[in-house]
Amino acid sequence: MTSTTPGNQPSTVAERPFGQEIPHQTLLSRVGERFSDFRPGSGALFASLGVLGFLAVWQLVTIVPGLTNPRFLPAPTAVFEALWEVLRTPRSREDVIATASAYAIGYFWAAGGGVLLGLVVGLTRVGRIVLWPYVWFGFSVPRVALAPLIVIWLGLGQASKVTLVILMAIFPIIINTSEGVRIAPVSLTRCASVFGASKLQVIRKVILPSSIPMIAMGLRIGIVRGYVGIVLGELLGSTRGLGVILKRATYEFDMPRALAIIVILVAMANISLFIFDLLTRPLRHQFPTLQQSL
Amino acid sequence: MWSRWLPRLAVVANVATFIAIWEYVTRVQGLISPVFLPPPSRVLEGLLSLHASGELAAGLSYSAVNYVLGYVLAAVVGISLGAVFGGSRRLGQAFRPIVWSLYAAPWVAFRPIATIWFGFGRGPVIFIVFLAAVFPVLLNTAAGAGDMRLSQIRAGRVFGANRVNLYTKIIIPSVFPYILVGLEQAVVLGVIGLLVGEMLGSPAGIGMLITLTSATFRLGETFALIFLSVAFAIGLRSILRAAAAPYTRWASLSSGRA
Repeated sequence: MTSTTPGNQPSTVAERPFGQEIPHQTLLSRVGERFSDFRPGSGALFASLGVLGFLAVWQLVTIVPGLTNPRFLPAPTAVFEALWEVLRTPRSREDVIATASAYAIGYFWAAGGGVLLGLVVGLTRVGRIVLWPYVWFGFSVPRVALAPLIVIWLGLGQASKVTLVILMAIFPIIINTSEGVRIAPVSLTRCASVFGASKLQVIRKVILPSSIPMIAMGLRIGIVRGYVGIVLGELLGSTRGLGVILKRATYEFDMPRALAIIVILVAMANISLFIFDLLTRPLRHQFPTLQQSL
Repeated sequence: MWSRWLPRLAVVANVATFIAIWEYVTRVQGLISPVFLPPPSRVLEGLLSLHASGELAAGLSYSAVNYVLGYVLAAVVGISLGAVFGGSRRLGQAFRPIVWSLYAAPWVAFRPIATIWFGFGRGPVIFIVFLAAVFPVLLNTAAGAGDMRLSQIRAGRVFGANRVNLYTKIIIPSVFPYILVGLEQAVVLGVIGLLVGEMLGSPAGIGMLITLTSATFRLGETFALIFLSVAFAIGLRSILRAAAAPYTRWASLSSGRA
């Protein structure tokens, strides 16, 4: 979609290219750029203005005496102080690393196993018939409800945390992979077999490449869900990790510390997504529909 | 005719075999202790005992109120903010990083903070339901608002539509399918938020019952509750779809979109 600003709008009918949809400008949709589009440029300026403005308003609100209780809403400066303190103390740094490593292990298994299972379900008839009810059910079950059971079964250590990450992350991956394989364009597969490709070659050269955008989307969703799993696991039963620091901070009513942990978690999730987008950027050439920044 | 029923029969046979194996493995001693994995018969017993003791009804009514309040709040805030962010390019760009980062954040982490803010009753649960449900609504509404087509507005004006008509007959039906998709996703996410909210420190509700029964090793009841919440989520989504069906048919016809 071409970038449009009010100044560049062609004004007469003769100037407008025939058939081009020009985004309209009413109250509800001034210049129609999709909210989910990401493009550096003037957008970044407004984005930073937005963030800074938000922080500024927050700081002002907490400075006015009596407007907010510092117990409930600490100033951004206090949160940054607590954040710095968490990052500086070796013991809490270890907790950050514990969380990150448990998440990484879990996600690794979820990604590998998920894509594999998704391929089995999508490509083989047997796999689909046998496995699909369980995949669908596993996806529909609020897996968070299984968390206490996982803690009972696997104890308070690393195993239950990693299992929760895997549980939360694997189902979107399986479903997206199998769906991506399923919607491979039939015309292309037929064309390939007409040209003499064996079943395996069709899979390798047509179906798999065309399903990459869906697989990537599933992996992306899995990243976010995995974080829900790790935090849940740590809140429910663990001795080390960010969730534990968070719980303790809330018991002691230490709001700046608690919010600092949230900032760390948000940053970790966003950094993971950013790294993922970076790694899949080369794919964007071939797959323009590949979703980024969703 | 055979081929039509075969897939469904396959699913039924599949699930029945699974349940049979489950029952066998947990009843026969030495394989899996029924303490850790209750046999399906035990799950059924658990469901009935929960119902008999009244815990089920109490938990359901408590959770239902929390869920409805949180969901309605999420719908209202999500639709209004989404319309604003999607409609105005600058506002959307300004707030996009905040919204996206919050969307990526594990909202589970807000549960302990919600306790500080809202105390120990319904408050934090409603807040978590809201937090879980608001993002799909907001993001989908914004996408819908940004996807308006000028030609339709023009056509309306040509045919003499005034401002009100523009909104009710063109803009709203065009955005509506997007809003609906967001609301549907929000139903499922709201249930997850409800469970998380109630599992981590709530005096009552389905989530609390799950934590309670699993902590006291009444795992039959726990599984029964889990299956119940699945049914709850699926049922809600079907209700939503059915309620909105007449509108989506009309909307897709008018906008020319599937």
